[in-house]
Formats: sequence, structure tokens, C-alpha cells
Amino acid sequence: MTNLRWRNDIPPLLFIAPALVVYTGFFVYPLVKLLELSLYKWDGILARKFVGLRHYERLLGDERFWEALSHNFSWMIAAVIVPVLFGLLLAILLSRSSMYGSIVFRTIFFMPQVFSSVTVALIWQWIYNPSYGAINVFLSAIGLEQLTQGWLGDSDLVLPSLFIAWSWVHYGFTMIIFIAAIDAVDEVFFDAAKVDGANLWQQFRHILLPSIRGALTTIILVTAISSFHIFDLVYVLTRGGPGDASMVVPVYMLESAFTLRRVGYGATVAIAMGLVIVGFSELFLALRGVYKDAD
Amino acid sequence: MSKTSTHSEKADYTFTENTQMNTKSKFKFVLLALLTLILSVAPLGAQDEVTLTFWFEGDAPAAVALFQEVADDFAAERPGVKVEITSFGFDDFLRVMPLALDGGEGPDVAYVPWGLQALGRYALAGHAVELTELAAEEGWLDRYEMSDIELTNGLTPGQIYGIPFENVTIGVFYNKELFAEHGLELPETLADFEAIMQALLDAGITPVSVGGRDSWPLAHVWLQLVHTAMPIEVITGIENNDPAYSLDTPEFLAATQKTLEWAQAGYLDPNMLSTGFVDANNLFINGDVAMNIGGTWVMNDFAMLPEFQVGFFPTPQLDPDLPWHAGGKNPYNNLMINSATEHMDLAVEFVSYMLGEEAQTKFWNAGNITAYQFDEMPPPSTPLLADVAHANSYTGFGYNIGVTCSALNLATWRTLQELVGEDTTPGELVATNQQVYEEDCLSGE
Repeated sequence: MTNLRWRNDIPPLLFIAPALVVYTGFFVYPLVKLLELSLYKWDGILARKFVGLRHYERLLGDERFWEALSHNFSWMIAAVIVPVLFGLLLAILLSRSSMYGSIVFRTIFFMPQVFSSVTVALIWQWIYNPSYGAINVFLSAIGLEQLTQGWLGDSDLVLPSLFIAWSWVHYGFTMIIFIAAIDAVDEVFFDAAKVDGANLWQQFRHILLPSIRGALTTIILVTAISSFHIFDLVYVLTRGGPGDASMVVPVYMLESAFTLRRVGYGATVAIAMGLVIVGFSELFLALRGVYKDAD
Repeated sequence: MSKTSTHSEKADYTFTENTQMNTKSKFKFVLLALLTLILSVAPLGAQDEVTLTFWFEGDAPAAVALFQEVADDFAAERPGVKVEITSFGFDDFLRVMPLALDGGEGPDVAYVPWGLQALGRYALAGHAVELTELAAEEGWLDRYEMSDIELTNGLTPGQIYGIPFENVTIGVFYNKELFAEHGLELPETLADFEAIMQALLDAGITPVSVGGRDSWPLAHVWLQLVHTAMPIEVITGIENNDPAYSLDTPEFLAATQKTLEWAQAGYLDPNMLSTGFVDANNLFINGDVAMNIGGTWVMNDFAMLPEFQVGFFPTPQLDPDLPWHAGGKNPYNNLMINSATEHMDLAVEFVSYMLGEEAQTKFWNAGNITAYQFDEMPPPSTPLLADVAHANSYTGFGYNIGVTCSALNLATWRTLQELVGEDTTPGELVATNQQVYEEDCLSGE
């Protein structure tokens, strides 16, 4: 009996062992180190000083952190609406219509997704340039000079401007997932609906949407989480400025840990961000479960 | 027959075996000889070939080329020595260097950023070689300003771990052609300067370009006014984190109010918060903007454009009763030796070479303001350097606020963006700076 259990149990363990080792080395160990670092005051080079939970206490009263977090939340709310809806619309157009050259359009719309984030940032840096950027030049050319702006220099416009740049990349991702989901829906359902006299909206509401619900929830979750990770675009374009108008938690974490050499506090910010993401993901999955049960 | 045959076969076999053995023996002999030769010569070669590694902060192509040239000159005089240089951007350097040092790695010699930000901490952690005795022996203390050395080694009073050899200063770069075209003379007072900016504005030309999106160039405008609004002792005191001094004073407030006035008057590029440092320089170079308040590290970028007629003058004083001193002097980067180096003697030689007259002349000729005090100053290599040298001859140098305290630096940059964006007031700015000074700088963070 024992031998049999060994024979059954050991091979699976051996199979997952390499992955477990990698997971432990590259996730569990750094996480434990991060937790440890958050309990110390350290400049990254001199001796560490144990400060217990003082960094967590400080974080609770840190207005800059809460402002950055509120920007991340605003970003997340916009992110689960704009690129998701835009991606869905494009996917329906490219998948459900017999439009000529849809493959070419798919490629063009997906193209920004393959650019590195720094390349994207540089493209939008040029687009938003107040003196020779595409937007201001275009507005001037059509006689709307009064609408030209310093897009990244205005504290009210900077966050929406950055978000548009981010969405430009992200809708390609949502579009491609939706296309795959839509293509997997059996055409028979649509044919039956048409026979029953269903219009386009009814086909969308009662056939397409329920069929792609799995893809939709996955996209919303991934988009929401990635909106919390937003770093490179903000860092390259504004570094959180002007003032703190576009400060987001990952940039604040970098500034704390490396520019200000408060490694322990930076680790605390990272842990707080991780907890927010985990909490949000759990909430979202729970909500999805509720709706699934309701169905 | 059979016996004979057997004998003959045996004889053949023996012959073959002997032949094979001879061939094998010869092969083994040649192999052994070759191995012996390689093994005996290789260590000699390895001993002769020494690679000294040198890391520095500064990724401008001109700076990299200059360091490469100086390193090659050093190596050329020493057969078997190679100097491998690696350049980093400022932020990258501050991230990579401590990690390398902490892991017992890193370069033999490094040119590290500002003393209290980097060098002092490396020294306290035991990663830098003390150069106090060497500095006296080599006569560096006679050639370099002691106040710079003291400031940059401020975390280790009485002990020298790094020597700064490059000065930078901040002032006003101006487009000579535009000035001539509009009949503008160089200003002597702040009123003159404001009249020039107004005249340019009236002519439809943006007076001053500022790369405020990168925040620190905007701080330079403010710092210029700060430097001319109060005695140099106040700035030096704050740089030394002396609690006797404050950033919430009428002088700081006056400089801050003036910065806001200039922004509101349109003297500073109205798009400054969405214009980066490079773009601001380009606007100036292209003649779209008449002046640029900036540091002399951009001198070479301006001077290398033969058709661009550019000059330099010190920012006029906010308080004309004070001795005129230009702001922005930094005991910039410092040469240090890694205590983990395996080539200590060569590293010391390299540092001595870099701080010596031969290398310093090269730096001067390449358009840098060297801290080295020549017996006889070499002639300026460009008209722009001549302008800067002339300005420096009648104004003193003053340190930049924030060099020694990153938190104050960042707070100033952030609140200045808010100030010109009219999201904060001059009073709030100085109060914030004072709060950061007390909470972060004085606590030694």
C-alpha cells in the first residue's frame, strides 16, 4: 500500500519540483525579503536599523502615497471602461462584419502592443510636445490655436493625457482576446436568432455577450491589475509631475526606494500596492462568482 | 610454414605496435611540450595584461569620448595596462553602484556623484579607500579647493575619500544674434535683465526656455534668484545641513515670488511644464527662444554648433548690495578607489593621473571648468568658455541648494512645478522646503 502511494505521489512531485524551485527562488524568497526590508530603515548601503512597523504607520499618514493611490484607482476605473469597450467594438467590427482587409486592420490596431513601452512613451512625448507636437500643430493648422495646450504640463490634463497614451497600447490587447472569443462562438446561434427576428443589439445582448463573458471578465481583471502596474509611461513622460499631478504608486515607490534612498519605506509602499492588487483581484473574482451563480 | 607464418605475423604485429607506439610517443611529447609552453607562458602574459575598470556618471557622448581619451592616454604610457571605462546615467549610477559595491564587485576606480549622496555613504560602508595621506603627498590639496573637498567629504570629517575635479556653474546663455538684432546689451542689474526679457517678449520672442517637465531645470531658475538674494554663508550653511539656517525666510520668499512673477509675465516659456530639458535646449539652439538659464555642462553641446552664436553672463542680483556670486557650483563628481580593488597601486596611479595637470589640461581644453588651479591658466578653447571664464572672474561661486539632501531637492522641484502651475503659493513653497529640511535633511536621511 505504502509502495503504491509512493509510486503515485512521487512522480507528480518530481514534475512540479523545477517549477516550485523557480517559484520559491523568484517569488517567495523576494517576497519574504521585501517584507523583511519593510521593517528596516536602510539607505541601500550603510547598516540597517530595525524600525518595526514604523514605515507602515508612516504610510497611513503619507498624503503623497494616498494621492498616488487615488490616481491609480482613477486610472483603473478608466482602464476597465475605455480600452475594454474600444477593443470590444473593434473586435465586433473586425470579426462579425465581412469588411474587406480586416486582417490588415487587425494587424494595424494590434501594432502598438508590440512596441516597447519606452518607444510608446517617446512617440507620445512627440505627439504632446507643446511646440511641434502633432496635436498642437494639427489644432493650429485647422484654426483652433486657442485649443492648443501644454498637455503634459497642465495638472488637470496630464493624467487623462497619459491615460490616452496607455489606452492606445492596451486596446490592441483587449481587441485580440475579444476576437478570439467571438470567433469561438458557434454561428448557428446567430443564424437562429436572425430567423427569430433578433436585431443586432439583441444578438449582442443575448448571444454574443453571454458567450464571451469568460473572456470579458479575464480582460477586465488583467486590465485592472495592469493599470496598477503603470510605471514606464508615467516615468518617462512626467515622472509623476507636474508636482504630483500624475504621481502613481509604482513611480512613488521607485522615488522612495532609490532616489530618496529609503529602501525600507519603498518596500513598504510595494507591499501596500501588492495588497491592494490582491484585495481587488479577490473582490473581483468573488463578484464574478456571484454573477456566475446567479446565471 | 605455419610456425613461420605465425612468427612472421607476430613480427609484423610487433613492428606495427612499435610504429604505433613511436607515433603515440611523439604525439604525446609534442602535446606535453606544447602544454608546458602554454602553461609557462600564459601566467607571464596574464601578469603583463592588467585591466583597470573605471565607472563614471555621465552619459553625454562628448564626456564619454573625453574619458576614453584620457584613459587611453594613461594606458598608452603603461604597456600591458588597459583601462576599461563604463558610463552610466545619473539615476542608473546611483542604483547600480551601491549594489555592485555591496556584492564586493564594482570598478577599481569610480567617478561618483556628489559626496553626501554617494561617496560619503560608500566611504562609511567601507567601500572607498581613504585618500587623506595621498592627497597631501600628491599635492592635491594645493591644487583643489579645500572647501569643495570638505563639503564633498562631509560625512567623514577630516578624512578624504574622494576629490572633486570638475566645477559647474549656472548662469544665462544667450543668443548673440538675437541680442544684436534687437539692440540688447548685456544686463548689469536685475532691472536691466527684466527690461531685456520684456523687450524680447514685446518683439514676440519667448525670452527664456526652461525644461520644466524635467523639473530640475526650473529649479535652476529659482536657485539663481536664491543665490543672488542672500549671503553665500546661508547657502553653504544649508548645504552643510546646519540647523542654524532656515529656508523659510524673507529672502527665500522674495526669490520664490520673483520666479512666479517671471512665469506669470511670460518671461519664462509658458509651455515650460510640458517641455523637457532637451526640448528646451533645442528651442534655444533653433533661435525660438532667446535665453536659457542653465548649467555649464551644456556648454559643449552649444559650442559645438559653429553657426550658433552663443554667449554667457551671470544672473544679475536680486539684492545688489551683496557680493555677486553665481549659483550652481557643485563639487560635482568625485574620484574614489574601490576598497575591493585588486590593483591598488595602479588605481592610485590612475587617480593621480586624472588629477594631474596633463589630464586636467585635456579636460579644460575640451571645454570643462576644471577645479584644478593651474600655475598659468591655459587659454579658453571656445568663445563660450571664454565668456564663462570671464563671468567667473568677477563673481564668486556658490553651492546649489539640495546637492547634499535629495529630499530637499525633490521637494523643491515638485513644489516649483506646482508654483508655476499656480497650484501652490510662494509662502507654501518655502514652508514645505523648511519642513523637509527639518524632517529629512537635518535628520541625516
